[in-house]
Amino acid sequence: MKRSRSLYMMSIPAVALITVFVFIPLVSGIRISLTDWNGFSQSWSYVGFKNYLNLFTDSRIVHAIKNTFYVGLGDTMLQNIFGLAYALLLNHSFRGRSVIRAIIYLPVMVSSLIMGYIWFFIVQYDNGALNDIIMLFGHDPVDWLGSGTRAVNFIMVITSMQFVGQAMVIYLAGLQGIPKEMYEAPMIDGAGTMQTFFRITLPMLRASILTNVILKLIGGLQMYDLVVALTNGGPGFSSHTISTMINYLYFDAQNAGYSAALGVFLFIIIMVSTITVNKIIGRDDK
Amino acid sequence: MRRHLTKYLRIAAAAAIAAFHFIPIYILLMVSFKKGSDFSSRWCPPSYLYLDNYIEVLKDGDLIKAFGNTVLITVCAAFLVLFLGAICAYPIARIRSRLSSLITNIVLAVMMIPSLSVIVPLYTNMLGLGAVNTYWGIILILATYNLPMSVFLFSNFIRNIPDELDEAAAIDGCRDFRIFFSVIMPQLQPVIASVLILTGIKIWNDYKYALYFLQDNDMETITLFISKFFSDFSVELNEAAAAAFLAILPVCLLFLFLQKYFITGLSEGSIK
Amino acid sequence: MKKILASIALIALALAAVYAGGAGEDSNVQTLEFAIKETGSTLEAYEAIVEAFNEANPDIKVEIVSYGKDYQALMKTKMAANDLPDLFTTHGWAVALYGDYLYPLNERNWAEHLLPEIRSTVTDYDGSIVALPMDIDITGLICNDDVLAASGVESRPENLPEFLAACEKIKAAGYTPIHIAGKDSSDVAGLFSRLSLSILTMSEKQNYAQELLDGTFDWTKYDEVGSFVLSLVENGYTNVDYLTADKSGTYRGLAQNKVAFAFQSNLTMAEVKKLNPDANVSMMEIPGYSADDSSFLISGERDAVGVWKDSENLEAALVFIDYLAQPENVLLVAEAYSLPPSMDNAEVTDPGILSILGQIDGSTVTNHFDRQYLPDGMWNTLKVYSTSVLSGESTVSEGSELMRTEYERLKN
Repeated sequence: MKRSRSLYMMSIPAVALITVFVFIPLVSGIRISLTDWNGFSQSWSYVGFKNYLNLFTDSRIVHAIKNTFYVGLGDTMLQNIFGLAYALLLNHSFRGRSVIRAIIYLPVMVSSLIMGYIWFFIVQYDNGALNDIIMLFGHDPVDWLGSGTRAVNFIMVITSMQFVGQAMVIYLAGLQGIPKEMYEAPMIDGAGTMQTFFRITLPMLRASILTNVILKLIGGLQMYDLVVALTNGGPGFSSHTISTMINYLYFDAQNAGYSAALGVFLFIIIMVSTITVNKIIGRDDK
Repeated sequence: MRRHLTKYLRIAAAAAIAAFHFIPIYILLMVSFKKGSDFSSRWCPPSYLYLDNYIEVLKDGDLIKAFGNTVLITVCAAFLVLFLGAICAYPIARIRSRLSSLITNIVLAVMMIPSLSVIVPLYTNMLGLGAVNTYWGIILILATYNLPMSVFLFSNFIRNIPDELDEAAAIDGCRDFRIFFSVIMPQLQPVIASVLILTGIKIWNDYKYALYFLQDNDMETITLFISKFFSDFSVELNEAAAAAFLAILPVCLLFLFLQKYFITGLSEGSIK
Repeated sequence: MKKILASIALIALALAAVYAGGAGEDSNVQTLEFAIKETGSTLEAYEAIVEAFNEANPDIKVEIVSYGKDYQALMKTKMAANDLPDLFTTHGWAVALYGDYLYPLNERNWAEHLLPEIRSTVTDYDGSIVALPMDIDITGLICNDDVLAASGVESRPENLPEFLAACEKIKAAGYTPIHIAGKDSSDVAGLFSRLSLSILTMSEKQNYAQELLDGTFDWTKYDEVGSFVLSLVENGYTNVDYLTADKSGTYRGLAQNKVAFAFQSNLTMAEVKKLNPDANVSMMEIPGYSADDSSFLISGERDAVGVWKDSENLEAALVFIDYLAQPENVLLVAEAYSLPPSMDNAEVTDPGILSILGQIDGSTVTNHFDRQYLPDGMWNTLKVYSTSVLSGESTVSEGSELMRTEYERLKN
């Protein structure tokens, strides 16, 4: 059907909001990123691209970027693998299934900040619930968050544990959408469970996988609340993510120009990669 | 026989998984019912009945107020996210043009970007608009940053609604807006539920924006209220746990009662 | 579906109307925003004062806002936008951070009553008093005397050699000598800054105070501070989770009589007593450098209130600040935190505060290391330095180099 361009009128309110609250601040952000502004004083001067050049040589920033992508990709994988496994398990009907589904989904409703504080009760060295178990087996307690690598892995696992219910539900729906007949043909051929899974189930779940990957990537790249509550970026600077680093640089280090440069850099990187990914997937879709 | 065995194994596995996921809430409950001076393991329930943590949290009514604020903000922002998202998605789903793909790309990108990257200039702009410490300010901000997800889901969904429906309505003499409201809107029910669930929870649990844009104590939301209990200066971990539990209780109850709608809603709308 | 949307819209409108209705205010009343960082008993003291003030002054309404732990971050966004609360607490940073935004208070009647120890800390380089201090913050170390006694340490260590010997005994007796809350970078920085005073500026043998002040300090000398702290860790004198513990861990350790020392402020004592009223914790003096040096205390600003110089309600804000400066109100805030009041006309009766005054009487008192010897903005560098050195991300000498470059950058 032929459409008139006037239809785009309907997009205006949303686009206007995004312009006012995302793009205009982004432009101001670019301006700030070219200065040495400390974030609160009334005086500052332009320093050109110095802030951007410093980004690449600052090991703390490079590390925070690595952490962000590690957590983002890692938790996307974990949640999809476990979400799908849980969905396959709960796709069979048995008594108490809905209770179990509810319990797994429940943490999704809890704010990540609160979840982070709860987990601190668990992984804390002194009086932490996890160490109580370790000690029950006669081991010495472990300072779980004491090494940066381990702390980052904990962040990844905890966030996956919290949000895996969402992935599970989306996969459950996907599974229910697969017509029964699809399974009947290969059954006759004598295909094994594994083969059925890879040849029928997985391809039929394409839409669910796509939704889940996008949802989880968003969650992972935005990681902030959980880090604040759990490690505060420590030990040292080893578990910072980009979001906590931006916050740190602006408020603690009083280096707003630098902080803005990191924000702008990230904005552009993610913008470009999303558009590229969308082009690839979009072409496939049509 | 074999069938029965696999069935029981399955139930056992599912129960174990559920128990594992319940650990954080369990620990939270245990801590919230203990005295601050009780240093026993957090796995062990207290041997006494102690409700002071809850009483302390509830006594001045701030939690109730925070709850009211959060409801107000969430309802308004979620409405905007739904309505503006749906009408924005319609043209980009129906018209194949450069402009449509540009809007789609922008929406996708904004969805991915850590919103903290623009918080500094955003704050200054909000202040210029007189929007700091106002309900409308926080509502617009939360709506804006959740709109991309809404547009994304709605446009995917609308693409799957056959164009013939629109055409039939157009032949009947309907104009664009009428077509949308009378033909498309009624079809959107499942995706509305998905959008509401995905963005509503995010809005409800928001911490970052409320922190910067709602500094008036009378306007604080639940997450802000809780974070205060975990402040660096205080040691009232047990009270904090009680507050946290009270904060998640209403949403958990809501979820338990509406579970069926949650799950069907989330699934039908989000995978089309 | 239309129905659902319409009803959501209706609910939203109704709620908005209810809230808007509640927010209507009398336009003749001047409303002052008073932002407070402090929580707990100090906040309660301010609330009581504000309530009494509002009752006595019907045409001014002071509204307290408390931002909790994000106070400083929020104040910075406000400074950036040049839109501050009419009144706010300055939590130790009256001059260094907020000085440019504060209205000078030298002309107020109460200014002459300020005790000299605290007057200097709230006075900027031009001689303006920028805030009304309520009390004098006296800090040293927090120490659990029961743990010392149980470990066979007979008296509190007065210098670092004695301190190390005490740590060894405490460790041998199965206790944790020092608790560090490494999740909180300012706690670690507090440890380094206290020891910096012992090692670099308070000793007769080795004293770089002058060099630090005139900018000629050789920063490789700072290695000694870093190495000293690392040796505490290497010798096992600290808690195992020194990188990840939070302050509540320190409080619990002291309350359970497991920990002997914490390099924290007096707030720790109050928090420990909440967990275990019988815990024998108190403030002790910071040990001197060598056997010949004596121990000392740190004094500084804690609770102070400033007036935003561009406030639209400046006159009303000054009325309130004068009210706040009345001796009984000063005393109320000071007592909330068991600190000596800032004014000579406030009469102390509280035995705890009297004993602190007694403690100050016979001892050397100095200002905080960073506030005295480092340029503005360097507290943050000290935090970065402390956490990086402690976690092993930087070596001691890399750390000192960081301190040097930042010192030189910020000094100019």
